[in-house]
Amino acid sequence: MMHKLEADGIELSFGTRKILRSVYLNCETNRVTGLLGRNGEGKSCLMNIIYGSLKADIRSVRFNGKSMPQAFKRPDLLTYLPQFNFVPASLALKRVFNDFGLAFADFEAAFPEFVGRNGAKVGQLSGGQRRLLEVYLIVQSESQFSMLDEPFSNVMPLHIEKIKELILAAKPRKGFIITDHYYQHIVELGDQLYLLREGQTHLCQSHADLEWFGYVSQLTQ
Amino acid sequence: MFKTIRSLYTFYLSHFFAGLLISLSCMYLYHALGNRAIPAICWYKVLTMAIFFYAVNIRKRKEFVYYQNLGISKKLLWSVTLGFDFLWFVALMTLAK
Repeated sequence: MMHKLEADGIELSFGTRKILRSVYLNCETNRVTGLLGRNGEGKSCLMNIIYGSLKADIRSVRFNGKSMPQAFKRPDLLTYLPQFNFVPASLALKRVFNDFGLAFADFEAAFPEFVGRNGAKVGQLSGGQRRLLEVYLIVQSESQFSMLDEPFSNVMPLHIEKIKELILAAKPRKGFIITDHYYQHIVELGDQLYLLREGQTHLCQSHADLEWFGYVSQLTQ
Repeated sequence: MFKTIRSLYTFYLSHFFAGLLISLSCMYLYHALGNRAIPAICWYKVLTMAIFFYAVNIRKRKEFVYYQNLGISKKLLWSVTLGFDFLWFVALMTLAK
C-alpha cells in the first residue's frame, strides 16, 4: 500500500534569526528522500519538526493527507533516528530487539560480529557498533516512514554498504527521509533530493544542481 | 501492552531510588518534628522533585527518543514515575504517623 508524508509551509525562527522559511518536503512509500545542506541550515530542526518534537512557528505535517502534528506518538507512522545515541546503555540487546519486535537472528545474519552477543548491554558496544544497532532498529522498524539523521556517521565503510542494502531492501514497504554529510551515499540512494539552503528547500534533479546551488563546491573547498 | 508496561517500569526503576531517598527523608522529618512540619515537608518534597525532574530531563534527554520510537510519550513516562513516587511518599508518611 502506498503512503505519503508531506510537510509544508514550515517556518522556524530562533529569536530574530529565521532558520526555515516556507519549507516543503515530501516522501512516499518505496522512495528515499535525501535532504542535504550545510551545517546549521536546519536539517535536524526540520526532522524534529516533522517528528513533532520541536515546535515551529508554522507547520503542516500530513500523513496520507491527514494532519499529524505529533508524529512521535505514532511509531506505526514514523520512526526517527536522531544524530545522537538514543538507546539506553543499560538495556541488553535482546531486550531492545524484543521492544522493537525484531528478530536478533536476522541482525546476526546481517552483521556476524554480533553473533552470540544478544545478552550484552548496549553500553558495552563500541561507538560504531552502537550506531549500527540504532540504524538497524529504525530501518527495520514496522513504520510507514523512517527519518534517519546521519545514519552513516561513525560507521565503517563495510557497514555503510550493508546499511544501504538494508535501506533498499526495506524501501518497498516504507519511505525514508535521510540526511548525512556523506552526500555521495545520499545521492546514490535518493529517489529525490532536497537541498536546504538559506532556510528553503530546493528540489535537485542532478549532481549539477548541487553544484549550481554551491553545495558540492563549498563542501569540497 | 506488556512491552509498554515493561518500558514504563524500566524508566521508573532507573529513577526509583532517588525518589525513595527523598521520601524516606520526609518520613524521618515527619517522625521527628510531627504535624507542624507537614507544610515544610510538602514543600521540601515538591522542590526536590522539581530539581530531580529537571536533572533527569537533561541527563536522559537523548533516551526519550527510544521510548518515543516505541510509542511511549515523555508525558506518560513522567506521569507514571511521578505518580508512583507520590504514592510512595503518601505511604511512607502514613507509616510515620
